[in-house]
Amino acid sequence: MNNEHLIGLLCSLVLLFPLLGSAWNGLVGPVAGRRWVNLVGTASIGAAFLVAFTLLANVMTAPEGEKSLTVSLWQWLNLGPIVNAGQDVAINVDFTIDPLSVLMLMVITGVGFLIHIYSVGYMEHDEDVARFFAYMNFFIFSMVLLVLSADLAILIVGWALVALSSYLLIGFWYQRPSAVVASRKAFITQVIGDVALVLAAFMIVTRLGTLSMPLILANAGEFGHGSAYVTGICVLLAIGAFAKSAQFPLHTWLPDAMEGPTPVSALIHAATMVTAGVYLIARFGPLFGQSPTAQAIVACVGMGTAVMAGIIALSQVDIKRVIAYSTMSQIGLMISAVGLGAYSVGMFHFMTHAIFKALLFMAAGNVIHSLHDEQDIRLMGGLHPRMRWTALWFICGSFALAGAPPFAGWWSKEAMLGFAANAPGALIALFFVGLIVNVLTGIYAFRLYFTVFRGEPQTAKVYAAHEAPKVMLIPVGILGCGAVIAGLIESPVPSFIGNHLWQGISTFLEPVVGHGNEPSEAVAWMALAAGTICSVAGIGAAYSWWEKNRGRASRIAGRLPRLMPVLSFHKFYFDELYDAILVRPVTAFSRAMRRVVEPRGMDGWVRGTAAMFDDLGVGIAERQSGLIRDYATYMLAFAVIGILFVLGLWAK
Amino acid sequence: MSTSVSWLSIVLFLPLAGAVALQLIPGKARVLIQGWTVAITLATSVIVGLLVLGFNNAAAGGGPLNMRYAENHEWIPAIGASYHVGMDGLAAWMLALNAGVFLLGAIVVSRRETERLRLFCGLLLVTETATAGVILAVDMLMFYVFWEAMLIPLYFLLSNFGEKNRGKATLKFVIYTVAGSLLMLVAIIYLKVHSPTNTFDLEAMLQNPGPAEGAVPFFGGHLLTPQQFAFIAFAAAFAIKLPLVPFHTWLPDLYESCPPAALMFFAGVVSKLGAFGFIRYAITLFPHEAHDYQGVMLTLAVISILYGALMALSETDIKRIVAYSSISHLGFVALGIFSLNSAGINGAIIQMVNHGIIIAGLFLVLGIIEQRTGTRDRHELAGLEKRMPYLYFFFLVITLAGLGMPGMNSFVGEFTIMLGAFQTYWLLAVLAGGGVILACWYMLRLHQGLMHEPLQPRAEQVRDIGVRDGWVLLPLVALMIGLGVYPHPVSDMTRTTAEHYVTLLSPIPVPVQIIQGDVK
Amino acid sequence: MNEQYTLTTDVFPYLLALSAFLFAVGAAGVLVRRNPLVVFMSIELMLNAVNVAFISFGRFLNSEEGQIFAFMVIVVAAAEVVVGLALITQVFRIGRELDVDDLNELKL
Repeated sequence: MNNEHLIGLLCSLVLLFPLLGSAWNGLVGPVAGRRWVNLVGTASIGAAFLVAFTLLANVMTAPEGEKSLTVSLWQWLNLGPIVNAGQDVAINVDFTIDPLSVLMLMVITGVGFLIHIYSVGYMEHDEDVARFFAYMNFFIFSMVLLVLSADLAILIVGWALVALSSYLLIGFWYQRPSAVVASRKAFITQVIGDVALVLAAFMIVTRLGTLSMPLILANAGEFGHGSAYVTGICVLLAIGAFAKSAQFPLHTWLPDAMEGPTPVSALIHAATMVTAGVYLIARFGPLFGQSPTAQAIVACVGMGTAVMAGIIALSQVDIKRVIAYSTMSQIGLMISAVGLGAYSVGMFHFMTHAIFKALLFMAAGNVIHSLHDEQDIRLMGGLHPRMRWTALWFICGSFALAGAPPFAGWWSKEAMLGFAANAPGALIALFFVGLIVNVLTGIYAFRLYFTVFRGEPQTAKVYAAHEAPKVMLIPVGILGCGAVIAGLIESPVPSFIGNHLWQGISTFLEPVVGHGNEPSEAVAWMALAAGTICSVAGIGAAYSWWEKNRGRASRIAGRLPRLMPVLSFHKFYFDELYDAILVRPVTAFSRAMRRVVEPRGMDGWVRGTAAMFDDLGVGIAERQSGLIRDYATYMLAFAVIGILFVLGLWAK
Repeated sequence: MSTSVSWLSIVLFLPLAGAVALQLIPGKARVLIQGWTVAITLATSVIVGLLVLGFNNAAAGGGPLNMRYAENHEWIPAIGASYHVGMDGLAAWMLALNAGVFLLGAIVVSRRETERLRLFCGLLLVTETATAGVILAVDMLMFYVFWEAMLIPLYFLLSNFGEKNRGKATLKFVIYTVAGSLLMLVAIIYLKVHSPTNTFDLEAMLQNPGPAEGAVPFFGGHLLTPQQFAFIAFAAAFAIKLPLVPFHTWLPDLYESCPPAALMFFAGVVSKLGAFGFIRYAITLFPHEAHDYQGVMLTLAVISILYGALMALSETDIKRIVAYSSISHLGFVALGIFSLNSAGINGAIIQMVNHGIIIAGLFLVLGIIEQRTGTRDRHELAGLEKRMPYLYFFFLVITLAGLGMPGMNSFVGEFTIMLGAFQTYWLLAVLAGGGVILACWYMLRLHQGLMHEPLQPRAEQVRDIGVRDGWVLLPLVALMIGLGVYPHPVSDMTRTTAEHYVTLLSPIPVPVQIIQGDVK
Repeated sequence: MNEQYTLTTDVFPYLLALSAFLFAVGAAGVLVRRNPLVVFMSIELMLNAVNVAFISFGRFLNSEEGQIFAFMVIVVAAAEVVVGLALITQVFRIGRELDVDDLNELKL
């Protein structure tokens, strides 16, 4: 892969297609009519997908050792020499094409394309469809910019632009106050992550004198292995990743983000944007490799979020929120995997997750669409005979999510467990927690399926439900097939086709992210077996609690200590907690400042000075009686005082 | 551009001449009045644009500030004052901002609704000459004269065309700023008396620094050296103009009562002149003192950032929200300047221009909203996106630029400023980051509060913006995006300037070692 | 300047004392009298007291400056009398009683 011009051109194209689509939809779309909007909106992403595919082919056919190429488009900013006697810190609009970025690109444009097609059906009745596609295309542009960028500053730009698109799309129905609040919350949380990334960039640039990512990664050793400085950088990067990927403690925005239209949830809040944190940590793998402390923090936070979100997902009643918490949980697993240095496995799970989670969201979208915006699963039930195809694909997705063999999720999840079982020292606990997450995933995934699709219809709406139109079913079907077979990429099966062309994900990504701490065969098999048993146990439990014996779940919940279901249902009170310790104090403080400090303190001394001179003037004016004799007395008195003063000075 | 023509003098006095000629036009010929004003400001903008474009090719003056297009004539030789104008990288961008913002101001002033249009336009042109004089002056007395002269047209603008409470707000502004600048006058005279050349010329003063520190004891001899006093006097004048908390209270009152068209250049240029003065005078004339008081100034800057942001968060009047946001953003500029390194100063210069563009756009949008809905209380406004989709788009871009969105112009400035602050002391960058988060909060609160949620009844009949407003907003928005996507050409010029200023203010001049005979 | 006219330290203090006495009388007159004409005369007295002091000092220090200043004072006093008397006449013409305590319209 040495044709720099061609690669540069392709990179520009994959960015330009969505950007132009966005501009066209935003500016011309409202007057051009729905058909054109639909066409341009989807075709731009389709074209980007084709370009991405060309790039993939370029990378795959490139000989070993030449799989990575950085092309430079233009200089964005020159900061001058930052490190003493260093070179100028030039921030270039550089793009890296390597296996990692191409994999991301394929998922973003591929899944993105399907979701765009699906949106045509989903947004059929919305009058603002041009704005919708403008935002969606803009999101694809931002996300592509994020993954292609080879400079930390440009990555931050992409990082913030995806947050912007997310904000715009969550608040798409801007007349709903809840959507407005949710979009703002999401954006502000993301900005916290942006600031952390910017600070990390500062720490890097003041030591290395560059922000170019290939150079940073090549010189990651400069900071000193295990030094506090490199840990600081990694923790800041991780905070950025946590904000983007909805990990504890910056996770509360994701469930609220479900206020946006369902295709948005599928695209941004499941498949692509929220996994950018995983990508970031994988990309900065060599840097994280320098700091075992930061890696341990990342692994533990990821796994902790996975368990927490899994528990919350058990009791939520909004269909999209259940899937949102499951997303949070699955990303927790990925974050944990990349924290353990299992980058290729983390990225593999990212890929399978993008497929089956987008599938689940879109299938849920079909349900919501046919029930006229009903999202409460307690009011559903019995949809299976009415929406057979949707139910079929939904169950495929649920199996993949729960990790039943041989669905896509099974391959990636159990591979992650293998790495967890191989973790050093006390981190081995992550393996056992991971098993619990497997059980939880099985339970909540199939709780959702059984409650929504099986049993008796709970409301009259359900009787009127009908299958979704083809334009919505076909993308779901394609992803459904993916959810069944995508995991096979990593299996031994395709290698029979031809070792020469076919590479598993881990081989494909190896030049970028390395092997990691690979488990031995025995450990891997043990983890696989344990993980599979736990997943199947979870599915079985869900079957027995919600399908076979319908009141049983609540009876079991009743037997648990009272606190557990309450905490789960109220999402561990994080929203309330943040409200109480952050939002309210800041607003109250700000209001107090405005009411007290500003008028009395800040303006007070200004007014006080003015008032002092005022009083002085009035005081002097009062001495002016109008009697000439008084004035003469003053004159004389001051003259005498002056003379005495001069005499006093003279006597000295 | 040929150097034989006194381009800078033309730029400086063209608006003033235009203002004089304007008085010949009958007051009822409103179209002619506005057309003339626009023509004059446009001509000025074109000349300034060409000067900025030709900046790199212009012959450098070679003085300490390396002024281009410099002109130096005698003015009052008896007291050592001269007419000395020049343009460096800092002045170039300030002048470009100045010309552009006044042009926009001349375009947006409402012909129909402004009584005594001729007076307004005349004052606008006079203000432009005054601000241009502040930017271009190299002689300190000349600088001071323009600095104070700026207040005169502004005073009449505000007292004649202001909204409610204009009397009080104007009085506060004028007295407050005059108090600061009188201190500066004392310091200027001190500098002149003690400068070896006995002139007010800035470049001469920088070439031959005055007496060593502490030469003349002051305030009882031990409290302050005269140099320190002079630095504080300069800093006070600029801190009030900028403004830094706690010298800011004139600003929200004034912005609240300022007429919308005047607000564009008021907020866009006049408040930036404080920052300009800090770079051009306070830190270059007093490098030692700038380092001595760096901690104090940085603290004030951080306080301004956070305090302004907090105030903007709970304010309900949309103009005051933007006023406080302006305090917060100018805190960033001060933070960059007093990082006293090239990244910080470079960022400050970039951000001065960027903020001028953003604040002009913001006030323009808010002016339109106020004019069409008749209220400024954000509780009474909501859901305007439905009625005003085009305004929504412009407002969105401006809001994002205002909150420092990466990819927009202010990110370039804030990123560079924060990098400079980080190099000075890491905690400053962290606190400034807190300011960024708060900025995001209050800007979105403002934007969403006006644009989103169900439409309020009083906004039912609102019209969207027309073509003229669109043509004014479009270049602003294009600049916000353009300078964010491709800031390199601008930042290269400002960086050279910033590095130059850093060499001027390094406290111990690095001895130039001339190695003779060992040329490789 | 001729040596023999120079004042000696014997006489000089008495002249200064005379000047001080005249000044004090004049000042007291300004303060206590209500008729503007009398106040005027008192002011003249004060000015002349100063003149005495000037001339004495001039003699004592053997320089012309004292005399020059005395002439200056006389000229200023004359000018002042012109303005002052004109004012007083005007006040009298508009039918006011001549009492300085009544002339207080200019106060704030």
